[in-house]
Amino acid sequence: MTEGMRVELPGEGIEFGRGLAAALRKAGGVDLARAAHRDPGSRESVVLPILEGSGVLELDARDGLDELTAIAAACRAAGSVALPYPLAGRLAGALADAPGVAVVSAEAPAADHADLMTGWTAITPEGSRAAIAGPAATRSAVSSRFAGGLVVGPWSAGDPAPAVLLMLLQGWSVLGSLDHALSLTIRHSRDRVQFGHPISEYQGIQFQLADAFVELSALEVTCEDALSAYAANAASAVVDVLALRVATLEAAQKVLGVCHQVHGAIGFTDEHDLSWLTRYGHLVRRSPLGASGTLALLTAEIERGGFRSLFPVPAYSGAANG
Amino acid sequence: MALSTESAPVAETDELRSRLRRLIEERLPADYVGSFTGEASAVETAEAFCRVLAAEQLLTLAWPEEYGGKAAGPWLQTVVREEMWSHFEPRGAQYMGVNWIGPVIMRHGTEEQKAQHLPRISAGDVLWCQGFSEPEAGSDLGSLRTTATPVEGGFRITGQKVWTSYAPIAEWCFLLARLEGTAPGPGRDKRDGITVFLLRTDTPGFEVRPLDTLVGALHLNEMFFTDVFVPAEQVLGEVGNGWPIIMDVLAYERVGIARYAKCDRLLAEVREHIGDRWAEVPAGLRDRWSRALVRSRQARLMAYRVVASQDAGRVDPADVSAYRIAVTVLDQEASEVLMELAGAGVLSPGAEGDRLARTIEDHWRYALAGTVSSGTIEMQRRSLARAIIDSSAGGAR
Repeated sequence: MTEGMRVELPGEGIEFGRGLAAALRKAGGVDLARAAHRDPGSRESVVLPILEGSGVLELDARDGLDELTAIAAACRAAGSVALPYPLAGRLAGALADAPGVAVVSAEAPAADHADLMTGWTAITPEGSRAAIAGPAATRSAVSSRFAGGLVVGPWSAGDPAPAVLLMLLQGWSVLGSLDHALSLTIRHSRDRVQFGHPISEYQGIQFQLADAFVELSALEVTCEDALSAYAANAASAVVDVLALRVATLEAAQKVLGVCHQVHGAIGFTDEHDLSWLTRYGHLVRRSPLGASGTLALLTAEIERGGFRSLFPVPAYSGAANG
Repeated sequence: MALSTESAPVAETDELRSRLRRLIEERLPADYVGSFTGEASAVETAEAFCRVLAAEQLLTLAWPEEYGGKAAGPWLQTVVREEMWSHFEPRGAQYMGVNWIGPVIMRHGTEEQKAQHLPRISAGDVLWCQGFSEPEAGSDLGSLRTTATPVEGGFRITGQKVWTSYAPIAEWCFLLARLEGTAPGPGRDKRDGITVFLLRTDTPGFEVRPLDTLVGALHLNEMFFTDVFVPAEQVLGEVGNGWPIIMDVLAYERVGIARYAKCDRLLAEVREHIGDRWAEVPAGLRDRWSRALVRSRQARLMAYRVVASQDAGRVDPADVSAYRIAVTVLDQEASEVLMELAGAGVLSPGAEGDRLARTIEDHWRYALAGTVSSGTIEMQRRSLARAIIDSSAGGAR
């Protein structure tokens, strides 16, 4: 009648993600991003072979909850080291019969690693799709060398499923980034001494850490819930994935804000991992839509199809006319 | 990361939820908004509903079978909490007796105390109040000053309590006082000397003064104790060593109120009520409404994470505090959205619109206190920060 109570994800998939996280740390962790910034070719010469070796590129999101969980956990692992490769887009490609997909707005299509996406498919959250001809010659975002515009072919209507899957996986990836960023921040607060005490002893710092943890926990359970909803019925999970994206964008702003504030100036330096987590988490927060646009999309979707809850929200019949 | 957990027994929880909703629909007036309205009928409604629950063996579902319960696990208890809170806690003051006063008496009480109190609590015909906070002891409960002086046959209690809900209608008080001569000072743990008393509120020297408040009648009261005699057999547990009992009380209240359940209910109800006039609601407010739905879902999922860990017997205190922070913040945010919807001129002009507006306003007033009552949000933030800073793992999991 209403809600099943607890999401249960298969442990094997979660373990797979842990294995990939360990492999990425062994290969340098966030240093992979630093290296790619100096030598963009390392994305395909160094990062790609690690992914191939892990078996993650052979997973198919359509093969049930086990594989989907492994894919999501792998994206979380990738996010935790700001992995310089569009893993989530590559994994969602199978749903569009393409080598990879980028979820974009039709008005300003853009993606991280746009230069690796020639031949991929650009898809809007509503399902319109276009072939990607290559990176645009437009100015890249300053914060990430690889965030840039896409040159796309003519748009045609299609199934939004690949975009929905990609937004789900992006949520997991951001979760990994924020989890790592907050871990670094908690550690920093214990190590950094000012006025004779570790700053973790000051309530002004403690409260910020607590609030960031609440956001991170809220995002984590929302990731689990959206994954479970998608596995149960991908077509009806659009609303759950949009809810996840609303949660993701809000958590990213709050958690990264706290992480930078507590770190102080050191967090902006490229010798610190936090700088790279922020750089490579940037575009996904703005594209295909930022926080306000995503929320408006969610509202429209709830009005169209309702919302799961202890007291389910019915669809709004007037929405079709309005 | 603690993703995989015992799954909830879906059929069982669904069945219980349906049963409770049926009882609520049949036995609870639709305009019931809790027992803090100041109307005698509201208290009577709660008392009558408790007797219905007791007759259906639903009042003490979580109690062990030897005390007349069904030994229901954390998931079924969660359903009860959700269904009761979403309908403005029709158990009224009884929830305290059932949730923690009964269980701590089972654990720490004498056979005589168990025989005296448990049958009445489980029948739903006795009201208790909680004598914890004092003017100088709020979050810092260990600083309480109400004093118990040993006399022949028992103790004489003198002091003051404050913010006590239901005190004017309670028959019994679960009272904390400290033994004479144990006032906090250098070299003494301020928790030493604290003793739990089970006190009848008609004892001479006991006086209640209701406070007029924004949050509603019966909600906040003062209690004064002037040489109140309590027989020795009404001490719960060890004299002078009541602190572990207080810790037990807090553990029973761990997940606390299912505030998200009422948010879920009202957010859905207001949308249904507004009907086709929904298009007249400003787009920005509709967006805030959908965000509140997301926030409510998140709080619920965080509660379920705690319940799952309870079920598995390993609760992470960081998860508990994170949930409590999330759910009280949600309550306030959602109540602001609901108030704005109620004031947007789109509720129906008739009795049904009036009822919903009153319901929403009641929710808003009660949510104001959410970050203060049962442990302030600052205390939750402090304990959460300590837990994550002390944990060598750091991060979420």
